[in-house]
Amino acid sequence: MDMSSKRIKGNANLRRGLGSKTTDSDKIMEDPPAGDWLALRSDQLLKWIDDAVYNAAETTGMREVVDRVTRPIFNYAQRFSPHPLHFGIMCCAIEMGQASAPDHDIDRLGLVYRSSPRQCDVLIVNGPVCEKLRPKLKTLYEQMPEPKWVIAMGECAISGGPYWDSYSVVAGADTFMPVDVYIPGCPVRPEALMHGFLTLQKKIREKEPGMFLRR
Amino acid sequence: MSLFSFCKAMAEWTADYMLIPVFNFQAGLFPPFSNPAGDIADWLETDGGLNTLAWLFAVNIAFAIGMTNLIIVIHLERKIAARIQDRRGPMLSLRSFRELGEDLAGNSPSWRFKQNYAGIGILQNMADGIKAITKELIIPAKADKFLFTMGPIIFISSSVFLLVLFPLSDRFAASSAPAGLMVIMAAFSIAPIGVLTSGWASNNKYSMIGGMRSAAQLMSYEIPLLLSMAGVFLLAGSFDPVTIVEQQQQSTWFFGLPMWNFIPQFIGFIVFMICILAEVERVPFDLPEAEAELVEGWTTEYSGIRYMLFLAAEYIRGFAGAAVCTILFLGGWAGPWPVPPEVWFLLKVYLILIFWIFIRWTVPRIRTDQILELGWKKLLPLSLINILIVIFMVEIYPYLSDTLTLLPEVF
Repeated sequence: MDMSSKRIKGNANLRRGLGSKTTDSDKIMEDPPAGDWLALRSDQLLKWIDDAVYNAAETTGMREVVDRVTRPIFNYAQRFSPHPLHFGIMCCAIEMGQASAPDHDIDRLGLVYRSSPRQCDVLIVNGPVCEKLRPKLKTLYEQMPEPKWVIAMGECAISGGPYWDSYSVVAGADTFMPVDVYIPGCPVRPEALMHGFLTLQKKIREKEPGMFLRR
Repeated sequence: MSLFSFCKAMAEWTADYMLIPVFNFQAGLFPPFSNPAGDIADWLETDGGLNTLAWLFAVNIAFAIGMTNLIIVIHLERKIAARIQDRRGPMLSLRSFRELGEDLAGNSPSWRFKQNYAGIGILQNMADGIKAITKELIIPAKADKFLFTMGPIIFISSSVFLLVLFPLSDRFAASSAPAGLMVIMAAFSIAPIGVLTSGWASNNKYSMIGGMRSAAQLMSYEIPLLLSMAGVFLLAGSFDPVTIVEQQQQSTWFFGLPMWNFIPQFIGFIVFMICILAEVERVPFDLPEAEAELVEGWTTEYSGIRYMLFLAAEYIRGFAGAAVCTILFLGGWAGPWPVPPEVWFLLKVYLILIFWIFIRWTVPRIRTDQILELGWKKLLPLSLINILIVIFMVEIYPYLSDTLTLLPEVF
């Protein structure tokens, strides 16, 4: 799933890159939706200012300049502090716990398991997702704040595993949510989970730019 | 030379060479019209203007020192926790900046996972903090938007306010109010309002329970906390931190050693340590944010920088609590000569903090009814006993000893 094109909304011309060449002042400062910006509600005004700043930064090329500096810094921070959701489904969750234990200390990678999805970056799907769990898991994914990633841990989360033809088990987590990293194994070894997080780091560095003005 | 006189000199230099010329220049630009810049330049030459500027510098220095300590405390917490559990803890090293340099320069990326994770991990805090800035700020659809944003502001600002209130030594103080410790305790007790506000405004049952628990706990532990401090105030006869520390140095026992307050008021010291632990909501009193029962308690719905600032504010409160404990019971900044007093103060504060970290990773959490029972039935009577002992020491014992020495002459 191409996340970067999904995030940039707003003017279609600007999205296609035509905006950086226009010098039309209408493009830089768009008219407010209600006609008179003094009559706007405060949240509408904030949104209008937000749009105006974004469009001005986009058309003048300021956004690329700022991004060139901030993107590596934000990306560095994002990939070196992944906070996964403390959520276990089946036997891979035992291995996830084992990865935090002294032998395979996954805290070295900066992982802190948080219980609330609002405070997480990574959702680890560690087990077969049955039909009853699917809406809850989808809700958990939607409750997480934006830049967020999903790791499918183990055969069951990848394709349904041994339950692939069961009447109640979903055939893989990627049938209903975007999955970034697949870790095969039944169950996944803690070393493999650590390798999965390093792979996610690689993916964040290459694919997910941490932008300053993001849409 | 005290911090304030240093800041006063800095303010004079800044005003003379940087601010007043600029304001005078601005005032001279449009002479026919009235211009506030000239008034500001005149005000900066007066004593009041210079003092205001000096206070600004002093407060900023205290704030910077507090924030540096905050980073060190969080790092210590994670590393000591890891060593207690026979792990290594965060290991993000300075060599990971090489990747950052490559990205900034636009070179092709290289992968050195082993080198990135071969340090002491002090950069982990930096990565967590910057990441929190880039995260989305979610306000739940049915939440009370105004209170949802006000709750963190109340909690965090009252915690950061604590940083400038306690002195690092008698010469290094951003604020030296005569009622210093009372102001600190007042700032400590603003936080329950913020906690209750954010717990209620989230419109989440777990947040609500966490907020209510927090309010109940903080209110019930405030009373024994202040009563155990009252003994120290009676002994010193003042609320001023400087006076309290001087009194502890002046009273001596065997071999002329200073009798710090934790020796005569041992009960008060124990009660204070337990109460301040509950006041800053650390294990075993972290019921409001119990991870297993309440999903992170009153911070459940907070994401991004708000959640990270909540976390930081708790550590700031912990640092301030340890500083108050040091001033009241451990002799403050007093110590043998070659080490400066500020370093002695920080050493004692870090001793208490490391003791708390050890408690956190060895002791389980206690139940809600047990926590209230401990507060009302055990700590409150103990703190009253402590006050009785101090009253005996201060008021009755001197007269009693006089009478006893006079007795042979009478008979």
